[in-house]
Amino acid sequence: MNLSLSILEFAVIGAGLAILLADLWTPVPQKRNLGYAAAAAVGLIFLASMLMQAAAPAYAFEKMYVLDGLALFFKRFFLFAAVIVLVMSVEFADRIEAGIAEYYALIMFALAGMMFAASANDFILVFVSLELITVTFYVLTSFQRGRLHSLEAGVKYLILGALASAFLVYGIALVFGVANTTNFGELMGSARVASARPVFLLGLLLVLVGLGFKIAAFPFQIWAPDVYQGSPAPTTAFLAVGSKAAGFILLLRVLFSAVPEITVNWTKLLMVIAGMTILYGNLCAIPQRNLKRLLGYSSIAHAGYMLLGVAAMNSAGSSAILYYLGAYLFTVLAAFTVICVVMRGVEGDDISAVAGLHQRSPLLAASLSLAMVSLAGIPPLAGFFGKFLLLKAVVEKGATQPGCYWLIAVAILGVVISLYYYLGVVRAIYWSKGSAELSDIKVSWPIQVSLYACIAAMFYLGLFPDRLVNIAMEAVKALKL
Amino acid sequence: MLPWTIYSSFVGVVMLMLLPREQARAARVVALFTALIGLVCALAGALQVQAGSSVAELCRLEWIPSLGIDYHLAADGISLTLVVLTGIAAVAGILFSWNIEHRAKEFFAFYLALIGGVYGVFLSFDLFLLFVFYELAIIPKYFLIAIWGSTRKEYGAMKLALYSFVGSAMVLIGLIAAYVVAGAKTMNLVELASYPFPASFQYWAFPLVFVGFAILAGLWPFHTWAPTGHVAAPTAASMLLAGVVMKLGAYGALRVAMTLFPLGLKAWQIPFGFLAVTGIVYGAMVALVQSDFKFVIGYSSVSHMGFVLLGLMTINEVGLSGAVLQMFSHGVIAGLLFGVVGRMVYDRTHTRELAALQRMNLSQAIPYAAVTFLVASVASMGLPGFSGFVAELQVLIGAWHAFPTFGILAGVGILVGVAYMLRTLQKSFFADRAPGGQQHGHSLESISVAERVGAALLMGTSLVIGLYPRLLLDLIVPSFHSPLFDGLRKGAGL
Amino acid sequence: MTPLHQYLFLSALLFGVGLAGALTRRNAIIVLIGIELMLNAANLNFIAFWRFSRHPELATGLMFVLFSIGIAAAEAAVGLALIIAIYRHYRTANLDQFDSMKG
Repeated sequence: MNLSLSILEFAVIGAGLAILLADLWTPVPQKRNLGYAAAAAVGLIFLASMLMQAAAPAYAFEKMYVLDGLALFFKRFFLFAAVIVLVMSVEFADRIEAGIAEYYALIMFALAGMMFAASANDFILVFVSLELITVTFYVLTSFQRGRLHSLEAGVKYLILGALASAFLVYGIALVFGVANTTNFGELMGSARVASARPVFLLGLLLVLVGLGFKIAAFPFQIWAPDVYQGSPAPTTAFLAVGSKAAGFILLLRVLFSAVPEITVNWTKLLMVIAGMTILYGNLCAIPQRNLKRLLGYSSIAHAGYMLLGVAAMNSAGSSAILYYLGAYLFTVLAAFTVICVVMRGVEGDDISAVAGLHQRSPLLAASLSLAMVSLAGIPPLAGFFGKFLLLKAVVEKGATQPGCYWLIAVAILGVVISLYYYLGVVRAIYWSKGSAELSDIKVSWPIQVSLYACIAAMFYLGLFPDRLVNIAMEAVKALKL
Repeated sequence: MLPWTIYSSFVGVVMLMLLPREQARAARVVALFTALIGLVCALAGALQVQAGSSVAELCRLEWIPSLGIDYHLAADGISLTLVVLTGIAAVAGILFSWNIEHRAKEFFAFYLALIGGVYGVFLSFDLFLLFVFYELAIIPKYFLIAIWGSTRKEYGAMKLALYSFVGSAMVLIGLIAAYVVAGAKTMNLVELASYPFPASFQYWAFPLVFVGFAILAGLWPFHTWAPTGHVAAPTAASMLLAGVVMKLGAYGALRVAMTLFPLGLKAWQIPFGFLAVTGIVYGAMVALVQSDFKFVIGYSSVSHMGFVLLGLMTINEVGLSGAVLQMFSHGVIAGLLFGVVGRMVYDRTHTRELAALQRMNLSQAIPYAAVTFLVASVASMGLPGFSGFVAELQVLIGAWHAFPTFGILAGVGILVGVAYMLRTLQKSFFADRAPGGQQHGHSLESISVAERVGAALLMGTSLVIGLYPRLLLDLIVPSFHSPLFDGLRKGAGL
Repeated sequence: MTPLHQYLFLSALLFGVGLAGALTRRNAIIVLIGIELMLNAANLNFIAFWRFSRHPELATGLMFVLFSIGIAAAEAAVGLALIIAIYRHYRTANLDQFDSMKG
């Protein structure tokens, strides 16, 4: 037992409980400011995480929990995302009728779940951390109890999420039945023997279904658009960044550290899933008018791009996923922060609400446009270099797997399609006739800070990618690739 | 000196963004000043850098060492030629858009960003860097057309953006593939050009990268973005589009696709030569029947860029240097033509219909425009004394050596070119006074000083190069003896 | 003692019944019950595998089931609360009628 390894998680949970407690003594008008306290606490934990090192993997809880470079990378990722999401939630506070402090606390509990997921080295921890995230998100999704869309999103997420969990648990049960263990390290040893048993493969496939649901991969993506659209904006942002990244770290761990010998036979399957996900997300995004729904579909497409890195099955691919997630983090958070500020009092989150934004607030307009351009993958922004790395990984794989070239063609097609709808948003911002509302928008300073941070990061990662590339390459050494 | 062409442009962008809103005049002055600095840097660089038959290093810093990507700027005669062209076109474009009042600050910011990206492409010798600059130009292009354009601007802008994006995506895949095949250690152009890529790889990588670039150069049948884009674009943007951006494509095709994959080039020489000739003839024929003044010029660009591509496909020194010279020459002449059509005529008459212009008796109303257009069309037809003549003649000689049939067809293209330019000239400016035609003479404002200077700059350039082509040929021809073209010489028999 | 495969058969049956219920029924509560059946099928599997494993002294399977039951309870609690909240709006728990979002 080495509890000190998971000190970050405990700190987050402690801070979350502290917020809940503080809520009891805070007068009502001040409650929303608890969010700043929460953001500051998570920010401090983020800084503390920067001091931690993980040269060699260290284990805790009977080897269920591992702290290695990969885990630390993702923990920092989630912590940073949570800071921005919390700042965003303060902005959103007046649109939540009651219990804003609980909203903050739930975000922190979901964060703890994600951080545990980053360290999962056993199917038990996979399941528990995943459920901690998912069940918390059911509540976060439906937190605007007065809004029908929010409730509906909650119910849809609940039904489909619970279904996916059931598949996951059943899959884990089958894997456990054959291999007699749920630990990734021990599975590695027995996988070669077990792989001959169809039940074992069926179990793994069911596990993949559960994880595919988390990252919204085709064909388990149907929940994403509705849930993205209906949820409160900070929830959507955290869902798009945190929950998706948690799904990816678990996918990487299961595929490349629990059963790497079996995964290599699944290249074709993963390639098909990646290609379909890219196409589905991009094609469905074209006609969307609701900005959050549009980003929902685009997030499906981005999951597809990242699956390219999984399908490539080399360390270049996995490190590209890490890089891509890093770029995606700042880009998507910037976009949702803008949405959160702009959509105040706007029903339907229609794209027309951002019309003329450049006159109302140049900062918001610039942030949203840069986010769109980065998502479209145009240099010198971060999104471009992420796509470059992913494509490079797939091309490297192409030497042994000629089907990869089809996958590349599909990915390129997706990128081209996406340019169309991303530019559509930019077009709405800078020139659209007859925008109704042209009053200036006041942007509070914490929001300004987080937007400037996101913009700076988008440019930094796009112009000076070397540092993050090295970190990502170092981190994926934890996987058996 | 030369890298400052890039930096000064981006500094200009930042300065423009810091200007207060609605300061159109200040924005114009800043933009012009920036473009002039760029031109001076380009000219000074061209005189100072004695590239000769080597590649002159300008700047090389480690950028992404883990992937072997450098920030590497260098120049040879070809880059120098095109950098000078960019400088001239940029200054002329600003002079021709002196009347922009609507959101002038943003207009010139996007304009300079585009220019900066173009300079960057011409000076990059690291493929990744080149690609980044290449893509950098897409977004400003889109904005320039979609905000300030006319006739179906959003359609034209989106079509142009998507075509460019498809092209650059193809290029990106080709570059990554080359990078991986060569061992994923460097993106340096010279080093990759000396790597012997396996022939089977080159056979598909060459068309991928070549077409990817050539889409932007208006290669038939991927040219359809060009007429609509040019027509939709505001004057300065269409001058840049035809004058410089299309050269990006041709430059990339020569610099990247051909030097990296000489065996692929050899295998695809005839098919692409055929497409180039088709472009020449097709563009000219279609230009002959257009009723919109700007469409005529748009299609003539496709036709003239066909000469560039045909010159590239000849794979001999005469043809290649003709192609580069044609890039320069067409950049200047097309800029001039679009300037006359967009700024001098359209902004005053608010119509581009040849039938309507015919009734306006423009040669008397705006005589300076008439003279400018006369000079420009004569240059465009390829009459001796102007740059177009030397360039197209060289391409034709090269083509005659490589594939005589195509040479003859291209010659036919030139004849049709004379026909459509004469037709346009007659209809637009020198129509017989139609019975009952309106007298517009007094209602049109006279040609401003800015326009006169801009037009004179472009006409002068074309004339100087036409009379003394060695100014540029002495830069261009030796570059084909640089180590960069070793592969092409061995693999494709340059 | 009942052999392992009979437990597995029963659990597969439970899973199938639950899945069929979750996919075909339109009432949200019934769907939730179906999903609970699926979870319990998995739990039954775990217990059976654990009981018949070579090392029952390693309580992995048992432990998983404890976690699983706890989580299923949390999920059901949240789920029912949500369904009641949306029932107040629509006056129905029919999933097909929750379709205010389109696109």
